[in-house]
Amino acid sequence: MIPDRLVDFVHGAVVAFIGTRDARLRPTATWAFGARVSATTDEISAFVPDIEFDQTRSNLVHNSIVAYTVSDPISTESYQFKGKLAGMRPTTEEEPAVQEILRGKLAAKLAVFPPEFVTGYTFVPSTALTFKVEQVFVQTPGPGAGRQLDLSTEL
Amino acid sequence: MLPEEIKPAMLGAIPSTMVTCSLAGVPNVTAISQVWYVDETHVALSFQFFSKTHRNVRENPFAEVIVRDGQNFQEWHIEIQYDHSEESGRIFDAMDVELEAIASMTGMSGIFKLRAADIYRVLSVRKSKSRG
Amino acid sequence: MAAEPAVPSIRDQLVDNQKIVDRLNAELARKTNEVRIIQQISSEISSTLDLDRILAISLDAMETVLGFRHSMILVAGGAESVLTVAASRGYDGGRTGAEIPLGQGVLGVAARRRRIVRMGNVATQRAYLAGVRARTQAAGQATLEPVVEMPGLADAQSQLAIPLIVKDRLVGVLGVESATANAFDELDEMLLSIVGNQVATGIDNARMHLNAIERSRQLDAVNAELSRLNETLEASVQARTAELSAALDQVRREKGLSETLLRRMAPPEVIPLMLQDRLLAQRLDVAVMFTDVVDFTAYSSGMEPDEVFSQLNEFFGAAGEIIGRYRGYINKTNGDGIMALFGVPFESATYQTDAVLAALAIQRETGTQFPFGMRVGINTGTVTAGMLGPPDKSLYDVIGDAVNLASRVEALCPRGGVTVSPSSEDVLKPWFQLDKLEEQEVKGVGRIACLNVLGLKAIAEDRRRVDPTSRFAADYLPVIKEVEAMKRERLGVIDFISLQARDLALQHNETVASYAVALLRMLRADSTDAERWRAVDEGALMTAALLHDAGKHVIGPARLNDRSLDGAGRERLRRDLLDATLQTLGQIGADSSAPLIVDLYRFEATRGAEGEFSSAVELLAAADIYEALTAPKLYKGSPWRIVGALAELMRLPYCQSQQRPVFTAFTELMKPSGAVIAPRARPDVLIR
Repeated sequence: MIPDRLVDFVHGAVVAFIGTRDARLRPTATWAFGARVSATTDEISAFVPDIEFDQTRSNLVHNSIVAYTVSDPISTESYQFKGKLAGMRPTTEEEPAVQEILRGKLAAKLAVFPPEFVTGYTFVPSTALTFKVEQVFVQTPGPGAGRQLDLSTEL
Repeated sequence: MLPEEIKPAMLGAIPSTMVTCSLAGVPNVTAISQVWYVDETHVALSFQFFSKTHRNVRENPFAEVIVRDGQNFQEWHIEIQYDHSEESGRIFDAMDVELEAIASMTGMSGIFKLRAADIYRVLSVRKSKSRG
Repeated sequence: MAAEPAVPSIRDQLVDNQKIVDRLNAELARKTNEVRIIQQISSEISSTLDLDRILAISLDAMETVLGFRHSMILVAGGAESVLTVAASRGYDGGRTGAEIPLGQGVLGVAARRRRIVRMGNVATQRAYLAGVRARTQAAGQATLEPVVEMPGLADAQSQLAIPLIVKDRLVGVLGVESATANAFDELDEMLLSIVGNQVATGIDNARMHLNAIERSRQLDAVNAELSRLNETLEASVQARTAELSAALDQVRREKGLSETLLRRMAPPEVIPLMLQDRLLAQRLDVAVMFTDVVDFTAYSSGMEPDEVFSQLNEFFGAAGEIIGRYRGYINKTNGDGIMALFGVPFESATYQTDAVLAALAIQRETGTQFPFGMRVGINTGTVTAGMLGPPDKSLYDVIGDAVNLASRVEALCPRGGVTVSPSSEDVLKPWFQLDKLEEQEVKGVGRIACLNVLGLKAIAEDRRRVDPTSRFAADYLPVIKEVEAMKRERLGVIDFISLQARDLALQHNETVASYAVALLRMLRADSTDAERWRAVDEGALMTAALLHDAGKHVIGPARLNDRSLDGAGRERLRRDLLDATLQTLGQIGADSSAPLIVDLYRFEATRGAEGEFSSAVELLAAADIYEALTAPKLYKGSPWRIVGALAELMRLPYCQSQQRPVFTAFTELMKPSGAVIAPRARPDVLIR
């Protein structure tokens, strides 16, 4: 069970990356812009912009292992979710709206940068990449970094 | 292999992203503060503490880093292969000096230690398409 | 079939190459220009031993020339464990005095590890580590040291620090910073390293110099102590007394050695360059002075050698002190004679008159003390100056025809006199009584007529400024004598001539005092308002007039003679002169003159436009302004004539608002008989 506070965290103003690897164990990473977490099914649908998705998609055709890291760019609080791909589909009509809201929140949070930093990313169209979470790790730099969360006991 | 125009992306202005993969085939994505330019075919990362990333590259040397230019925000994907570690020399010294300076200012002297400079070979470089 | 990659057209290739060439040219131009500027800065730094000046030059240059807006120079303490900010630029309120322990921050690490440190994202990294620190602290996992406040910009992103090392010693650190990320590049490192080298050597030399001065002071203290001891024990056992005398002599010798060791070789200003083997020969216009004892053989016959040497060395000491007082430099002694230079190693505005005044002072002051007669000859001309001699025995020296001519002029000099070559006649004429000699054949030069300098012109005979037909002329002469008497009896500690020589205001103070007091007496005798004039204290007036710029000896002569000062610069000079004068008054116990002098400066700052002033101040101001207008000038151009100067007095803002009896009276009394002084400005015309 993904704890509520993590669900809120993933839905918040955070930056996220999807990590995959190919047949020769060569890894690749790409932006995910927006996500929907289901606390009931322990599934996360991360919206990956199509514009930089080719390698990732081809990796997932070969194997279904997904790593998904989410971080607050200011506080550096971070978590990494690992699991198996459950499905890939284009985003629905509503999902780009979620992405746009995220863009707005990030722009405000990263106000120290000029606005073109956040607006320069192209996230439409995106592919919703759904995976079942099997492990969650704390990735926040500092003591305890790398610790695995026990999902049965974490609240 | 590394062009001149990537150098501004290797100054640590914006955090970089690193993805590694264990021998069992599980990828690991993390943020790192800086990828250091060594020469046209090599980059370096600072090794400060033992982590999944560190364990992964020791068993599977292939990794990818995404670096970002602090001025024009251009992203680059660099595929790299872990080569060796250095505990002395130009790169190690440069990393060590910076760490000492920053640690001393935040009252963390002695707690943050540079164990080594990990040197990687550059396998490929390309501009990311993520900014259209 | 794979598509062939597009081949860039010839045109594209040419355009690309040109871009590269342009970029390289721009980089090269920037490098060359900045390196040239660095060389200029370096030579300025190495020309002074004054630590504060070195720091100021360096930081000013770094700001205005190289564009570094925030910079500081830190010096390492004796134990090299603490760095102290010695000078800074670009920080509100400055940072001087702030301390950084070795190893702290970019500056501290550069110092501890003795290497250049350049960082472009300090604030970002600090913020990141601060987060880690907070979590570490919250987890209670380690005891942490406190976070440190660095003395520079709170939000600095870019910092570049250069350690300053001289011969393996850490002298300090030079640092620049910016709130912009990655603001500095390798070129900045290079430029700053070059400046850093110069600053390091400059600081080190200045500190060596300060140490020498400090050691001299310590030896002075020991000297005084031993002298005192010597006196009290004089009454008791003789053996003990002899022991102490020997110790006293030892200290004197040591003091003499340490202080003059450096000065023996060259003028102090060139010593740093000399120590680095970088003193270049230069052509200078200087005054060369030769002195000689008349008939030395006759004088010294019958004397023991050590008595002869003792006498001569005493003379050299006395003459040397006088020459130094007039900013000259003893180049060498030659048997019983001295060769001195004025205007080395930097040209000064007054070197010609300084030489003559020094010569007159030598004859006047040593004539009574030493039983031998002397000749002094001076020539001004161009020489070549620099280090001369075999490598381990080279001395600062000058060569040229001007030197030889000076020697020949000295040979023509009468006993007890001062003789100059014709080259300085024009400069000396306004102030000195000159007696032209017959033309003589001088080897290598031809026929020239040298001149004997008899002394300064007497104030009493200055008809250019006090017209003999004026009513002032008669009453004024006795006052001059009284002023001279007061000067000698009450103000003997001050050498007015050397003070006035600095900006060639020769006899300025005596003249102002004479005008002011004479005017006061005439007003008392003449006016219907006698009470008002009787209330003015004559003695106080005379003293204030004599001392009104007594602080001039503190101000550098270059600044005093700077004709390019703008209004703000002149105002600053006036303020500094007043401060120095008030300080000097304190030193000689003449504080009672302070209020009058302060008011005088207030008057002159606005030409009397603001505020009211006492009669005493009016008298001083009238005399001072008239004297300044009509005195002979250092630069080309004529002094004001009497009628014009008096008219200028009437045009002072002070005289525009109402009738001012002092100025009106001064004009009436001073004007040549029959002259008409233009009345003050006509009243505003209402209708045009």
